Amino acid sequence: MDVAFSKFRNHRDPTLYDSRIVIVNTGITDRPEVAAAIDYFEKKDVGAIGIDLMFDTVYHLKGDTLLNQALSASSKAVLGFSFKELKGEYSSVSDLKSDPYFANGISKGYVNIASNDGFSIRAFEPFHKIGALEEKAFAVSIIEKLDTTITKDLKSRNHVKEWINFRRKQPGLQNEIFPINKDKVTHYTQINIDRLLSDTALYKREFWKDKIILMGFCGESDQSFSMKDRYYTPLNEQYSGKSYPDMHGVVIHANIISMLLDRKTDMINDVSDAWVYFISFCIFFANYFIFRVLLKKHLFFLVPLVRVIQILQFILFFSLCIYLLVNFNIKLSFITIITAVILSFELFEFYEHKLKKRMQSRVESFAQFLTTIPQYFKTKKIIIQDEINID
Amino acid sequence: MKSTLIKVVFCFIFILGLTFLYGQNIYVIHIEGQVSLLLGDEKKSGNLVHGPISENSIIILDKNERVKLIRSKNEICDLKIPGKYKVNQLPYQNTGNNSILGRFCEYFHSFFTNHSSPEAKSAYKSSISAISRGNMAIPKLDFPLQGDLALDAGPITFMWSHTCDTCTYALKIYNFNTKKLIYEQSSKQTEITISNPETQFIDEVKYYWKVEVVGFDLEYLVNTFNVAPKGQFDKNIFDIDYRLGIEDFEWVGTTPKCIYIMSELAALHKPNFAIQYGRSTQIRHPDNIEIKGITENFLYSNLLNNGE
Repeated sequence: MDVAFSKFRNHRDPTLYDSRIVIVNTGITDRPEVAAAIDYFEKKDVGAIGIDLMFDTVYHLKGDTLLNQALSASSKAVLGFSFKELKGEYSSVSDLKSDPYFANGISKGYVNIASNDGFSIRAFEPFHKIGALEEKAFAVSIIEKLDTTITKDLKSRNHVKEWINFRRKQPGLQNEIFPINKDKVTHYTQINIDRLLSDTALYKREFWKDKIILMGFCGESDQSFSMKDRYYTPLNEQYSGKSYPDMHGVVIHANIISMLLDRKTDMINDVSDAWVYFISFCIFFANYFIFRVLLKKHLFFLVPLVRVIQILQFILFFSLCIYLLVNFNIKLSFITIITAVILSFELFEFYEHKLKKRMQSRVESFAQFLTTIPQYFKTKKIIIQDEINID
Repeated sequence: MKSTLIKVVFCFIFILGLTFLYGQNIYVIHIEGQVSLLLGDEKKSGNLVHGPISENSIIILDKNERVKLIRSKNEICDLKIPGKYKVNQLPYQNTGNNSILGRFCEYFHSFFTNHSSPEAKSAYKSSISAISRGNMAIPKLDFPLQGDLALDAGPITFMWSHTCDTCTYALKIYNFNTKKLIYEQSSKQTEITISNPETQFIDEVKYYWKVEVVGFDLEYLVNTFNVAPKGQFDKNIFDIDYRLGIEDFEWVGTTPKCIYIMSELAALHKPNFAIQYGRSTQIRHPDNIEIKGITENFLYSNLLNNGE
């Protein structure tokens, strides 16, 4: 996935620019500024305001009151919270959340994103049971403000976790370096909150209409290269070894939202295990006949030739996996297939030298047994006929 | 061919034998403080150093000292409690197989244990919270204040102020001279009580302390305190009490007496003693609600005066 997304996708494709989402970098959180921005967006008919910030403390200052009032007046705002997974899938508890002074009556979604190593992000859970309640992911809660069919659509897929189809890179001037955004592409509009509030006249009302606003941290300023709330994604241009985390949390949420908005075409589907095993079996089968043909020819370079064939197959299946993922969003498990390629010659030799004779004798005896069945019934029929005649 | 095989087998046995013999020694791998050592005849003495140690020697451990020893088969002995220890009678704990063969077996066995494929979704846990908490204020240190602190005035409660409902704090206390961390404790509250301070601190030693918000790399405030000599707290109280007796203040009630002694201690530039006295009085007179208020008032007026 990392290789496919970072190296084989055309990040310069102009259609990747997602005008439906605007990211507002809140920098060092200033509550009066956040409150002013929420007020502003509320008046501009935006579709939803996702606030990827946690206000877990009330300082009893002016800013708290302003933020409380802005959030209470907003019907579009969605706040984030986090949960902690205990043992088992359904025994999770709520963890970090904004103070009820701010969060009461506001839509919420959890900001947890799935990782297999604690650093790299590739998947997320659309729904998760926290205590007795099923909660929605931050991205799902935001989209629900615009499109109520999202929950039904995701439920119908029946996937506990969904792969994130990372297409769009971290915006911002300071990120236009290797391994983050070497191509210097812009896939999301990112505005600094100070600049937004200082000159709101720059933006026409139509610009904001039905847009999804994501407010979150993308660095203290335009120049700062902050590592806070920043993670590794498959878009990291250096997909192995040591590298910088390449994406801020709010941009990851933006990627999830983009994918969910284009869910008819953009969701990643896994090839089922049954199919993977079937393909692996077919590889064994095909390779068996290839190796048999080569063996019959008594080639002097049989083993090197087999290895060359295996290398070619490796390249072929690797390319196929990448092609399917990049172009058709189909994720084919590479490890099982490549194991089949690697082991096929060893299993061929094992079969030829150890199993074949036994198998053949078993098959022959079974065939012999099969030939006796009609004879058995024929004899039985004669006996029954004789008994009838005697009666 | 045969002779080569014999040579290889011989070398293998030789290396294994060496490893076995070498592993019989006892080594000191960790020392905290200046630990004394008596050699076999109990006449020669010196300080314990890292490295091999004779089985006949005796380790003398004082307060706040710690030693870790290791012997063959990866057995470790951790000494923390003050006392005399004969090296050949120490209890060791096995921490796992250390032989090369054992490690090979463990490594080989690990192939057959359950490894979830990195490609499998089941290997992914929702462990990352992609959210920003904005700027975090640093905790303000309340108690103990700068100055002398008594170990013999009961439990010491370290207090700080910080407004965060979901934060976890780490209290860290260091020896001022050695910069060594001597105490660390986490809490979700804004105070931590050390019940037996005499086991943690040494008389007449200067310490510094700070409180960190777990998960936040900030420039934290630091404060220092000196541990007063043993008995000084009682002596100061006795002197003030004696003066009260001379001045015929026997009729004075608990609250005014507490205020008087606290103010006298503050006049002696011992604000920590004053607060400790207030708290110990509070424990002795749990029904007297005024003393708690007086002690807190005294603490926060001191913090205000110090510009905290």
